[in-house]
Amino acid sequence: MNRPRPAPGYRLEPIGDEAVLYFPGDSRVLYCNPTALLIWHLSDGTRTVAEIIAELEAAYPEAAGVIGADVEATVATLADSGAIEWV
Amino acid sequence: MSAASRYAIRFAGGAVDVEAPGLAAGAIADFVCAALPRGDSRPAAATVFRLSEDPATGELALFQGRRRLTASGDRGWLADQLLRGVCTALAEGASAAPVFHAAALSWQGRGVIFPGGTAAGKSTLAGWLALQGWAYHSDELAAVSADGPTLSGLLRPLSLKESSLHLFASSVDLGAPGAGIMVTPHGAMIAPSMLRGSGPGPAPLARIIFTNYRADSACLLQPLSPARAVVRLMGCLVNARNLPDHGLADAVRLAERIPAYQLIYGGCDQLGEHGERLWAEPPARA
Repeated sequence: MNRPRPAPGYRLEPIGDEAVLYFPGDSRVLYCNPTALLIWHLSDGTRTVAEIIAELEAAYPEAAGVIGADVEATVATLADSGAIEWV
Repeated sequence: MSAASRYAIRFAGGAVDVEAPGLAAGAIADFVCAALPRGDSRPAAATVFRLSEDPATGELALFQGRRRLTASGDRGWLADQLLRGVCTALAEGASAAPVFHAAALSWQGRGVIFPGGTAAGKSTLAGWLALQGWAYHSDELAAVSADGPTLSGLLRPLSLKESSLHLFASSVDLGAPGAGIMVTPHGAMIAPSMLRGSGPGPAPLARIIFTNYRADSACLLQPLSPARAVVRLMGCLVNARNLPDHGLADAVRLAERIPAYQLIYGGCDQLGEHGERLWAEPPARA
């Protein structure tokens, strides 16, 4: 139970390099900046949060110092809003 | 003033009928409804408001269908309650286009909607802009059709809180209200006919400016990205349940095509320096 994945029902609506997450059940809409969008795509149920951080740090070494905190905060926000679940 | 006023109000697919027999009730209904968009009275609307004298008390009572909503000797209170009821019912029934909780005005034929929640300062801003020469379309509801896109405001009396009435002090005598003014318990309503250039009909939408009044705040006007605009538009969409996908596709199309801004202001005296930017600046994207 430590791998995030999209909760059932949420739909991603890309808008430029950003996106919104839409949950038809209660018409909830969440904003995703480009970083959150990337994290959403990597949260597919196959990676732990630590693995997501490692993958992004390898892809963006210049931002390695802040990626860990960004990912943890974004995953927590998405989980709190019910957009992701844990497997 | 009429002996029996009847209005078939139709807006974006929403339908409300208003009946007001008698001179006193008719005068109130005329003030509230005269400028509202009307359509065919057949078929009758499912929602009917009736303002009539209660024989038992002699007071005027407001009914929605058979349900008695309120009764009072205060004309302003009854007008306010009737207007609220009509707007709520129209919003709940609208299905022909997305309808936003927004003020709507236009400048030189270019439309701007100012979406915002209750107490966001929409009516105050609408009144101030009308005094600056903008055409007034609505201070409460705006329908945006996909073609254009084009805005159609619900042209209704401008509903100002007491704290905003000073804006009109030089142009309206609130101490001796006439046919165009209705004093309410919370402030006053000003008939659209009192606002220069009001009710010009649909206008092509050129700007979306999310409005938020915060007392003692500095004035801030900043562009919003389309995605941020979508989230805010969805929050102000009052007829989402009547639209496919709760109106998401409409909101996305709108945000992709129309520049959106966030306006935070603490008083209309701050807006002078920004007023010109609201319409004169080239469209800027976040």
